[in-house]
Amino acid sequence: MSTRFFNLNAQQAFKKLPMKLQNFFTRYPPSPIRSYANKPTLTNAPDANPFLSNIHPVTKTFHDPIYSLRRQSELYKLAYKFGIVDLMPSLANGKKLFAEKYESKPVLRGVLRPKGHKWERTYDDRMKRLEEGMAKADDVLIQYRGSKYKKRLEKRKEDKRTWF
Amino acid sequence: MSNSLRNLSKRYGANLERFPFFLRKMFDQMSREAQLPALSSEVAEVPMKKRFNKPEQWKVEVGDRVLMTKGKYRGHVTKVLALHRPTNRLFLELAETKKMVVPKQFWQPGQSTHVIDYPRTVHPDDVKVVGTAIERAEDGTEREKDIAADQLVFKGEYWDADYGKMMPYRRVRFHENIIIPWPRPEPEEECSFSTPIEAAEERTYLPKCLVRTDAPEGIVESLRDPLIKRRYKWDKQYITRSEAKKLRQPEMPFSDVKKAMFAERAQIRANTPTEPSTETIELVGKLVADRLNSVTDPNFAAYVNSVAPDARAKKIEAREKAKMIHDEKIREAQERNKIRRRTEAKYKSRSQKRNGNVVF
Repeated sequence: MSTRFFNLNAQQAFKKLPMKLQNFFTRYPPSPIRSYANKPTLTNAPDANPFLSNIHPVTKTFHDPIYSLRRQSELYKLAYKFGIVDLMPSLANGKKLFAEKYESKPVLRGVLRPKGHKWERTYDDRMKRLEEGMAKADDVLIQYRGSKYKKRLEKRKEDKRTWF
Repeated sequence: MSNSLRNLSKRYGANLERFPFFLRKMFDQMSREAQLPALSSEVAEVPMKKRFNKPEQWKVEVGDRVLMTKGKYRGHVTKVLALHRPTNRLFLELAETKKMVVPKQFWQPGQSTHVIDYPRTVHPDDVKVVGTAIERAEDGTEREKDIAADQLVFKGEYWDADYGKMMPYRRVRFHENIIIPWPRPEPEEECSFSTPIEAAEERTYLPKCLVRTDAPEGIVESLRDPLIKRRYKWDKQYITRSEAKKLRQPEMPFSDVKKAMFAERAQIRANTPTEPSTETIELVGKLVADRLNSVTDPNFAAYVNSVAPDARAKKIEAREKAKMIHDEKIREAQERNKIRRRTEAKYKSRSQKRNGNVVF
């Protein structure tokens, strides 16, 4: 029988979050309350994403993201553990973490179609050529050895012993 | 060749200090085997870094009276003759000796045989410093008594004119009010080459100005090699950014741009919420509650409790509670010791009255 360790309501559960996450959601409420852009915006825009480097309206310079890459990763990993990773603003360049990251990764060409050794790559062709050559072997021999050989072959076929 | 010269110069053989320990040991042994026993010390030389150079390390000085605690003369009080710095050991007045064969060029005046008794050195840990305490009897007579310090502590320091340096106070451990003074060093004899103190202390130069030097112009350049390969080392023609920043006056008051930046930052700070809204709490809390209420892994539950904001406070509280209990135990033990000491003293004084002063 499995024991449950927590029996919390929403308020208690929020207070149970690490301070880092609580402070983050205090400053940046999750998406239904406030939306966040996927692309860099002006720093003073209402949907400015704190994980992206945004442009300043007056100086026109890119400011560093409010949360550094290390802090972003810390927040994301914590949120993942508490099951609220969907509430976080999107990361730069559509970056994903954990299972999502591996699912969204394009399959590499080498994994799809491995190159293989040269003998592996040419195996089918060589086998085909070999079979064709074997099938045509008699004709080739006749071509080079002359009609005498053809007759000998025919005779050998006639003289072949059978059980009857 | 002296050790210092060998250390200074690469020219006079390899510097043994550069080699690893086991190689150094091997070379040391090889040189020992090749040397006459009279020329090498009995104990191996200590590497330069480990040699004592402070009075706190030696614990004794030349002229100190010491109680020997090891060897043939254990229990005897004798005097320190010299410090043997290469081995961190002492030469004592009363010491064990060993027979040694000395080549003729090292014979002392009056010596008539090759074999002499040479004193052995003693480690400072094998002696205890002896001081003099004045004991006052009940009838008021004063009597000098020797005390040997089992352990020493060095606390505080004073200027010792005879040694010409700061010397630490040498105190007896657990009786730090008892100070064993350092012995007076023997005055150094002046020879024909020595400079008198007055001549050395006489001030012969007084700068006219603190800003400008009295040296003639270009004297420093004239001392330098004009054909030096990398002259930029001293002939720097530029200043670095940090140097320029130090030389430049800071701009005061702040520029308009900076003021605008401060205003913007202040506004951002004012607009940043400090408390989570109820909507946020409901939205986030519901998801977190769903997640945590379904937790069945005890390790994950422990992790959640350890990263919760109140975990640190709880930890500190538990530690303080443990400390309080510990302190209370110590206090009780001290109380018990007080009572025990009082009782012991009481019965001791009674037995003294009955039997007289018995020395154990």
